[in-house]
Amino acid sequence: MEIVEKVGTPKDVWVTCPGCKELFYIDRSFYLPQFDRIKLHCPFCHLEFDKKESLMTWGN
Amino acid sequence: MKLKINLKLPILDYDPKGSHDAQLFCHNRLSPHRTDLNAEVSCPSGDRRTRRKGRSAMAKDLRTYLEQIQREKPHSFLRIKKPIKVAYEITALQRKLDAVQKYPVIFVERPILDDGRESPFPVVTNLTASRDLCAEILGINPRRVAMEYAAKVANRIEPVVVSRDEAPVKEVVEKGEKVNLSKFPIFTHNYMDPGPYIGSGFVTCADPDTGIDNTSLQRMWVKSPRRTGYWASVTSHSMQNINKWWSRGQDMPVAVWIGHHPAAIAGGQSKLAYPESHYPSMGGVMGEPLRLVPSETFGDALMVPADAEIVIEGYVPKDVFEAEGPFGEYPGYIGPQRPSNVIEVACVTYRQDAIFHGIGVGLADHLVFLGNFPMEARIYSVVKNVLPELMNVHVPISGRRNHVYLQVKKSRPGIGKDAIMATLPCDSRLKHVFVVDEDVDLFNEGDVMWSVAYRSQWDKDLVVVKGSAVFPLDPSLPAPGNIGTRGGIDATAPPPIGIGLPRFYQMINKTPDEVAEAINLEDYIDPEALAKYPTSF
Repeated sequence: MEIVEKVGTPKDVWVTCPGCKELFYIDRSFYLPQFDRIKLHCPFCHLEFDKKESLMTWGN
Repeated sequence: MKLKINLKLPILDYDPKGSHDAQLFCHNRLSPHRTDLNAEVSCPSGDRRTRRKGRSAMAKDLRTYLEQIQREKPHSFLRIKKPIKVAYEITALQRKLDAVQKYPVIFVERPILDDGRESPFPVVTNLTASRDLCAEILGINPRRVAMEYAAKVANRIEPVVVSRDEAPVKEVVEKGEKVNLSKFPIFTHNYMDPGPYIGSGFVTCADPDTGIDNTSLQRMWVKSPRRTGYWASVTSHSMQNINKWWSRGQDMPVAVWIGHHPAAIAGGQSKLAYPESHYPSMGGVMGEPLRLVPSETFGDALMVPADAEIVIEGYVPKDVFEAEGPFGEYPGYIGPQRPSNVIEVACVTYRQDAIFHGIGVGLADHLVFLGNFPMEARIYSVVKNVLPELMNVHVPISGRRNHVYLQVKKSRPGIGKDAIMATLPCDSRLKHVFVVDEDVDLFNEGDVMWSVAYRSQWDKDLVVVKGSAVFPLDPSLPAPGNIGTRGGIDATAPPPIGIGLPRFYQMINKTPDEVAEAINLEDYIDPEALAKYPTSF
């Protein structure tokens, strides 16, 4: 997993689905402690995955 | 029952034995446009009227409006007879109409569901896309929405309660495992949306302290037959109710109603105080009492519109958050996936031949009536109280709820900036306020921009407010996305320096009046040729 810091729109974090490898973006609040364990949902292939499984993450 | 209901709706005098019949009919005022044109509304599964129980012949609902528009404005009604998919295709059609600035009400007879089957329920959409048509629905001037709509909302008419047998929305009642939301023709709008979204659902919940209901249009991703995502922003009244229920350790009851007369929809979107029921405002805008009926799941603790097309009842379970989105929203951008609440559906009730009302999310259908009208009315009501020089308000489609144009009578210095400061707190979605003079056409964006260009100096006429709480759907916001910068520009000319004196500001280009009156295009140009001459933009 590779993480690139603070590029693109600072408000959002861009993630890559480990299933279909498509890129989408999530709200930064997923990193708050109360939401940290919520699985992401790929809007393209509907895979649910932990954000740490994102193949590439931008803006975290 | 999962939770203890301890609500009361004090404005209603619900009698479960049905002794309120006199109340039921007190609002059945005849009007010339309420004659029966129901047959004009397509019903693919047969004659609904013979199967329908207890529909009030007079109460305003979605059907009375569709009948009216087909009769009075047939060219404003587009009936699509060909099959068309609810996934993307209906929205694509709306988007193409938006691009050429045409806004008919669209009735889809044969919507195709995600599994390829034809839906038994037709669709109506673009119901609220035209400013002129929307104003006409309400019987107001499209250029005076701010004051006339505000007057209607303020003219609250208390709802009446009808029995279950009198409620068309109770024709079909499905509970528990019989519930299957995917049978309804729910749109998927944008390419990144994770699935079908109900964009037209008015989520009704109640303040557990007072029992007073709140209604608001909120998006719901249909995740499975009995579960939806549900996003309420942190600044919403719904979120205040969620927090209160959860702090009591209870799930929050909700009832989501879909499909009603556009005037009822307008009242449901009115911007009110908290806690304050929207039902009397719906009556005020409709001009007659809204008919309510107890929900199946929560009884008279949560009342629902009897003349809606569909009602979904369920709970927002405590402390449950799931990923929701991405979703293309009113700013015209696809908002990020975010942690959101869910609704566990317990029951759905609907008319046998329900018409599904879908909204073209992010298009004029979503902006004009459902956002801009209530915002104009709210701003006018609030700001006029402190600034009598306010003349009119326009929330333009182009600004997508972030922009508002104010027209003031500049009789003294400082009015422009006062107007900006009074306006910004009226709505968390407002970002930029443009204040112009009374000679500027508020509904002509070219005029407004001309005023900004030639009546303002940014170093002294700009108001900038940093660190303000804002609606989080603006992609330009810095992280974390709920605090931003708002402001406004005073684009008014200096006021007169004394009573009876002119405004010492350069005069506007103008042909002498007598010449302007004497020169007529048709005396010099053939009308057919005129129509073919090039335009500009």
